[in-house]
Amino acid sequence: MKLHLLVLSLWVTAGCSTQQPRGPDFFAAQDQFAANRVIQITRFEGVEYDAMLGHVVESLLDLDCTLQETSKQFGVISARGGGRRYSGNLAMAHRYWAGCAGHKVTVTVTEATAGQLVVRATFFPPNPEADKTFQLLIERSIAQARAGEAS
Amino acid sequence: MRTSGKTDSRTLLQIKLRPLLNLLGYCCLLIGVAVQPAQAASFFPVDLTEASLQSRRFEQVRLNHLVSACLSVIQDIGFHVVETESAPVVIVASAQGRGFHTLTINVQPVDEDTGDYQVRLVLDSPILYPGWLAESRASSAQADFYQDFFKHLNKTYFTERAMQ
Repeated sequence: MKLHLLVLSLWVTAGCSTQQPRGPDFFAAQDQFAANRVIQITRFEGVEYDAMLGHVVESLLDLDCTLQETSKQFGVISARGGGRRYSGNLAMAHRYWAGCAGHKVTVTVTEATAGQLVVRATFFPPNPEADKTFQLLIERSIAQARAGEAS
Repeated sequence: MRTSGKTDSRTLLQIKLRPLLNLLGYCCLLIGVAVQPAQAASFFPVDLTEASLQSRRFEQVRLNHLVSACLSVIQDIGFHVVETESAPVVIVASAQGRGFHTLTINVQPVDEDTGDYQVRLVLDSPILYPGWLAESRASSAQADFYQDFFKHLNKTYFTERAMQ
């Protein structure tokens, strides 16, 4: 009886040890992709494509990011968070979220329909606060540009 | 007498155990043969099976739309664009999951007049598995990745076009 148990336990151990561990499954959360896009995407109307790329750059610089790659043809801008982290009084004084340090961000600008641009920013590691702040900064940059044009 | 009794029981146990040990030995031998380590990696001949797994042809598409869909998938799966080039179309992206991964995408025209393009992906993965199964397991994970990527790219391309 004991022998049978020994053989069985050996068999189970061998089976477990040869079981294939899964590699990193980047598509494991594909049910979430559509929901994530809704959060990460902002639509803008009445802004020129080139000007929008400029607003994206401006906003990334506001986030204290260092630009890594820009492509006007494909509407891609990627950046990395700077080394500075704001804390304490400085963080309070700083009007916007400035915790971009250590983050990586990829922004794409695409023309959805005539006159409508879609801006999508993806932060790594994902950060809902960063998503919101980036959208806020873009809106501010556009508003400032429009105010400048009006005056 | 006692010693003789012990010897008898030992012999009896050995007789009973022998077939079982033999069976175990055969099993180990079979497992050993089945999971024989792969031959050392060599550059030649080039493995064309892998190239076909990494490539997919898209017909009657617009280059910019195809690249845009590629970028959407890259963003969906949490990769960060590191470099892009427009001629030839190359996108290099990286991600940190379990280890550091680099993904290179190349879009080559097959027939620009009809809008036929070939997309090729290469995922540079670290060795995730220890020991002698590393090579086969890593290549199986990569094959799954390519299949999932193209499936998702196809879906994204047509979804994005439908929304316009």
